[in-house]
Amino acid sequence: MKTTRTLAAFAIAVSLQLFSLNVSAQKSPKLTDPEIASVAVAANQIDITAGEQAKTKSKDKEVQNFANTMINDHRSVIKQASDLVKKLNVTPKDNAVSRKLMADANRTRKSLASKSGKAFDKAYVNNEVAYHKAVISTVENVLIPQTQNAELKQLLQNVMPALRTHLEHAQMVQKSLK
Amino acid sequence: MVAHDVTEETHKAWASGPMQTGATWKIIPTSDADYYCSIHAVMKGKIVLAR
Repeated sequence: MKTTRTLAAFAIAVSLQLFSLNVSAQKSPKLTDPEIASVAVAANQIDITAGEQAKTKSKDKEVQNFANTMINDHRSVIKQASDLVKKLNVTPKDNAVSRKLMADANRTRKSLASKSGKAFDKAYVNNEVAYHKAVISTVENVLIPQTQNAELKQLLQNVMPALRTHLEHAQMVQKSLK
Repeated sequence: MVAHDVTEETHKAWASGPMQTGATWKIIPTSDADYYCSIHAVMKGKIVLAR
């Protein structure tokens, strides 16, 4: 029993460290639609920036292919989100969750910048696996349940299959790098 | 939501090219084939011709 509790505490500590997005999920911060829109745009932009970094640093064909897909898919999602918020007359509003996302992403980008070759490929892809897991959990458990506007909620629901495919794709590349 | 394609997997014998949401593409298969989305390499399918 004690071991189980200790393990659980350890698991929570690890997930708090690795997946800061899940911290938000556990606390379930109350977000308004403009704040949710801002989190959605930030989460997509972060992965575009990471993909651009990978394109300049990686020489691995599968990593390049994955990075291209991330850039194009997340651009497409941002475009659709921007079109929708314009139509709904919503201005995305900066908030604690989107700021935390950006701060974490900046740290990751700096850490990746110091790596090269296979070490970079592995670190980038490992981060993509962890990031997509965290984003899937946040969209599913925090953003979708709290979204008030039906069209914005639908858009977030429509993104879920693409996010799951990205996670599987990242895991496939992760395996190929071992 | 995002673009996909349909590509013959073994020899890249045929491919639709990228298709946006709602787009359609046709092929008349003349043999069995494994196909996948070259953009999302985990999305796979199989064509089995009835004889």
